[in-house]
Amino acid sequence: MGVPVSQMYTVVSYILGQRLRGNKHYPLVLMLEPLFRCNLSCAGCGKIQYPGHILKRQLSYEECMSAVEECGAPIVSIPGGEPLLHPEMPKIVEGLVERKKYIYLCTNAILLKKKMDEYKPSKYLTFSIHMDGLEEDHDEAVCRDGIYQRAVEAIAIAVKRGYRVTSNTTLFQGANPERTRLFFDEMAKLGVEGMMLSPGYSYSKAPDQESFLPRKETYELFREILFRPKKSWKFNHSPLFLEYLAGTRHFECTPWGNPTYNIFGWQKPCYLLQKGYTKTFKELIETTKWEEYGQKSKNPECANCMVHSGHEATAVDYTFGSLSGFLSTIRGTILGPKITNPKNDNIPALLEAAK
Amino acid sequence: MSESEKYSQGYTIEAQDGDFLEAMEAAVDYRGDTTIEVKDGKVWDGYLFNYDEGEKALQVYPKDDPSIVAIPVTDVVKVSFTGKDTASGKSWEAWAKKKGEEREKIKAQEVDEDE
Repeated sequence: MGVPVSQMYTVVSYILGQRLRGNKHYPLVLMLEPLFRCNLSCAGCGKIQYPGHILKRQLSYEECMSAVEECGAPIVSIPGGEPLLHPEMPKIVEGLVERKKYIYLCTNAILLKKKMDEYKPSKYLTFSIHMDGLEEDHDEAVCRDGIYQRAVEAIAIAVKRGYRVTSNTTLFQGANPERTRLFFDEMAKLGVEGMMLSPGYSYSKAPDQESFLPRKETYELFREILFRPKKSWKFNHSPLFLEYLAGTRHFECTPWGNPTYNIFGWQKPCYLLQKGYTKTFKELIETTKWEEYGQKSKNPECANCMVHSGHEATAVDYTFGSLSGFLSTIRGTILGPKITNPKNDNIPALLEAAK
Repeated sequence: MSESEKYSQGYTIEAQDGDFLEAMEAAVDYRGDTTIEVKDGKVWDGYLFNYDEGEKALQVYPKDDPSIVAIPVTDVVKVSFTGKDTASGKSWEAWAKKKGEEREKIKAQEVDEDE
């Protein structure tokens, strides 16, 4: 099963509507962080390092619905923390389904088997399972043994019960391309609808500051991983975003594409950096100095950032903003993303970004 | 001394100090609780997470209060970094090293058994 046609239709009509209205700063995916509490403590995660009384706080159902309506994005991603720890999560998901939002509920799957029955299978709901590689690699990334096997079991059950399921993988320095390809085979065998990929971002708050990928290494890694992809692999990404990861093309960041809302408010300017909070979405859009972010800005905090939350929105906007973008997406969808042979030293994105 | 070393648990700054504004920025960025003393003698103990530019106020989640408190910057007398910095934890490298050692141990045992 792939992304439902209704989801594609919703997203396309939403984007065309925004473009027709001349709205440049439109959100595509709301990153709704209802809590920071987690049942894992991954060293690469910069989201959970807070005092205990902050970790106990959470957004209420009403606050979540209010943020979703204020933002208006057609897709709502619910990361965290671990969303399944939120006692109102089934009600929040139900509220989003009622509002016809496409939901990506991001979970490490530790509690998924136990809590799955609290959620009804729906075309609007996808469990997006955090999986950072094969068993050894994943357990190492999440700093706890046995988590990979629990997640695999939960994925198999969820797929069998008719839920939409994707994997969600962050790749850090030292990731092995061959093992990553084997991991994709495993996910395909499990029957996930699609796989999501992102290079890690070096959070200044993450305890581990040595394991994040500089830009050139990111291109090289993803070329090796994605060159000659297998037919069984399905990615939950625009083909142009995969080309971007592999250095075939350059995209600037669209930080307003995935705005973030959490217990502190609307986070400036993006999902990863914390440069203050606003009380309203309108205020976020109108008062953030967007020109100070992204690779073009020369902001050192953005220099090596290539994450999904900042760049997929650019790829999607490019698709619907130009004929070449549209044709490239059609070509990439039919024939697969254009990935240069890793033996070729030429990385077009580096040349393009230097212009 | 690096900024993260300087602005760590136990650091205190008063409003009349020269680098007060820089310390305020560090306090907003700090992943531990702070204690803020204001002009009327009141003391706020909690997590300082934002400087609201419009209202020129610090936004704090007090430890024992569910609501956000806004403290005008002009009212602040003293700020102390009182809580533990939760971002300085065990590193991924330490975990990877431990795992590497475990794997080596298992391999060595397997070799012993083969012999």
